[in-house]
Amino acid sequence: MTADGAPLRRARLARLRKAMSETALDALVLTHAGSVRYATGAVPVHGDSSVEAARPFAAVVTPRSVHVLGVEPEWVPSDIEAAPMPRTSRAVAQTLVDLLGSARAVGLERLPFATGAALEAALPGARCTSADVAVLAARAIKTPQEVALLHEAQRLNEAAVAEVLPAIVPGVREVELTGRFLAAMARRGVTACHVEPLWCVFPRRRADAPWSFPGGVPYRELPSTRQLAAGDQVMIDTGMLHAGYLSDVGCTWSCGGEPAAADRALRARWQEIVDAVLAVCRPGATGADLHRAARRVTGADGPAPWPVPLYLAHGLGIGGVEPPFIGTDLGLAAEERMILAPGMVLVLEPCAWEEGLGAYRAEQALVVTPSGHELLSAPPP
Amino acid sequence: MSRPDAAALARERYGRVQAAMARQNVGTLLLATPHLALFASGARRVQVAGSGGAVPTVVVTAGAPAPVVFTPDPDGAPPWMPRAAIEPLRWDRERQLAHIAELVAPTPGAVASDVLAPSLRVCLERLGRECVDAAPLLAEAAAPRTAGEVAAIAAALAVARAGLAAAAAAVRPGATPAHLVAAFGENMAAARCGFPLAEGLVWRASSRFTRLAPGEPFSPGELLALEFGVYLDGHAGVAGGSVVCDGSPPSTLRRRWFTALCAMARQCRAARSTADLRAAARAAGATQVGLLAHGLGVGIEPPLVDLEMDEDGPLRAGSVLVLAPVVEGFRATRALVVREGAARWLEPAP
Repeated sequence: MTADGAPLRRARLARLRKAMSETALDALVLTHAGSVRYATGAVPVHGDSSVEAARPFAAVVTPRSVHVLGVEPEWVPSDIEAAPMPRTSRAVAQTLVDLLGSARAVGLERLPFATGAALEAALPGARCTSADVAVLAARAIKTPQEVALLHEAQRLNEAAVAEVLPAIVPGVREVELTGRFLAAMARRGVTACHVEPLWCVFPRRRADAPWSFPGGVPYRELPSTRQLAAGDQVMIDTGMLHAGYLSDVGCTWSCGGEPAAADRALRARWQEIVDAVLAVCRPGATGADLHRAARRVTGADGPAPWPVPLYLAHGLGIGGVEPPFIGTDLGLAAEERMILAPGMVLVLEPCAWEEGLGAYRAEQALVVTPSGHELLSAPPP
Repeated sequence: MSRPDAAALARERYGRVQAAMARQNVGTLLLATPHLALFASGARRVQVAGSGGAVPTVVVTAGAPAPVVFTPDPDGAPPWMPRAAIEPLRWDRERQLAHIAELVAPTPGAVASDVLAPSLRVCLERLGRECVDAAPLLAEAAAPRTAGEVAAIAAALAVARAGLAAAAAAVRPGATPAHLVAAFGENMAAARCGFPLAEGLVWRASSRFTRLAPGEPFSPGELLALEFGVYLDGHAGVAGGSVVCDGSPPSTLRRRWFTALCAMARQCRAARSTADLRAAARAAGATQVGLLAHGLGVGIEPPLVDLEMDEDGPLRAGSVLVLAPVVEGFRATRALVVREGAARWLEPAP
């Protein structure tokens, strides 16, 4: 058996059905690989969106049934109904209608236009809305087994990054580090590369990153064939899936391995921001509390200590990053409504930056516990 | 070795998208699917790690010199795009949709979208705008590829093929798919290649294909089908092949597969169709396992052809096809460019 085990699946499906009930949805049509796996334990082929379009898959969840389409039988739990994905949009829509039964309030994830249109036509009178409200509500709180998987994902990713660090030397090109990292993860049994691994030299001056959006720190996120030079501050950010769960490891490494005094000062400031946020990170605290704690360290007048439109913190779970997104255009009013609860997994990723000195950015994963929080990632190397 | 200018090639594609919009009287094109957003705009990584939903991240309006891109990574937008066209991704999806509505409102003609989501439907209904499927428009814009695009795809194919060879060399009793991915990754590093297209795929090929888990060990004598893919300079390359663990596939098997490949290739010319491709493959003994053929560009692209389909479509000159017949469990891929006359291979013969 290569699909997920029964206890993990049962716990997740129970949460999903509870969320469906609370959001008055009779059924869900899921097409995001993470959602399909969350609801069913089935494991589609992992790839970019073009690979998913070439090998489409879906799950249909109702209060009494769960079906998977388009995933090979050996990758679907034996107690879940599995069938091939029909070849045409109209046939897909008809199959979905058959599986939806009498459902009148249906939550949908992203569907190709032709399939969506055929489904709407085949469901006259049904109320179709986004599935996100139910799916994200269910996924927000992790079961202990999910937390253990996320913790293990972090540990594997950290070990792979540590294996690549000695290769960050003058003359190496940023993009060459990606394949080395992929190989290091594969040697640990992890093969699903979910996010383009980032190995980018930070700009030391705002003028070096004219593309950056105003309001945050200047940054680069996409590796190129740029050759590293001694002392470059290399931002690292890697994410791969372990058992479907995203690891998210970030740190900053001085090319050649010897941080300068300015690098150490920036790292200390990053730690100060993280410590301030961790100090308020407990059940009942809000996203706004975390946001304000970070800004108290850096002062409210300057740019936020993270790039725009990224964030101070985000949730982490199966198949990707997820809410709460703290420090975004959603704003403080929305963050006041983001209330931390035990079982939520967050990644803090502030960036300490100073004109002329450059930046230090790293990531700290944690799970909110009944009494506060526990760290899920090791201190950055 | 000089690398393709991915930004310039994206600009050429954008020109084809605009031309297709004009021919189909589409005033606005909305794209939410990452590889389609990349196709039309050339912008890398317009979403963050699986967070993308059904809200468009690329908006193309008829006649505009550049698309509007909503992105977390502005350094991923092509340098020819004006600064004002690169906007921060909005996490407040309602605000993003409201802004998209502002972009759509003054345009004439239909609104084409790659997805149909309830929130987008409501947004467009408020504007009183007809929404149509973007797929035909995008298919029209996919070809003919320019010489530069074909060269970029050929370069990505070569890297994928070299990685496949490295992975195949790692097949031995007790090794696992993860070992093969590690060998492929090392090869990616040497090729300065930034991102795999998918996790490496390894199937046990017998009466049916069984996808193996990363940790599942190989046994002596079993026939394995492998497929690996990469992104290189904004273009995709894929390579598939078959190996026998601790042995070699029988030459007769390889010859039968090659016969099917050549039969399919002979159909790859303008005025032939996907039905011709299927018929040729079937006559040569190919069996239904996954896709028989597919397009290739910034990712896996239409046409998506398998033996069980009954839909038919024309093959277009200037499009790149990957042929992947399976004969008696032997599967391998080769890519070519469809032309008016005989197709041009983009990879060496086996």
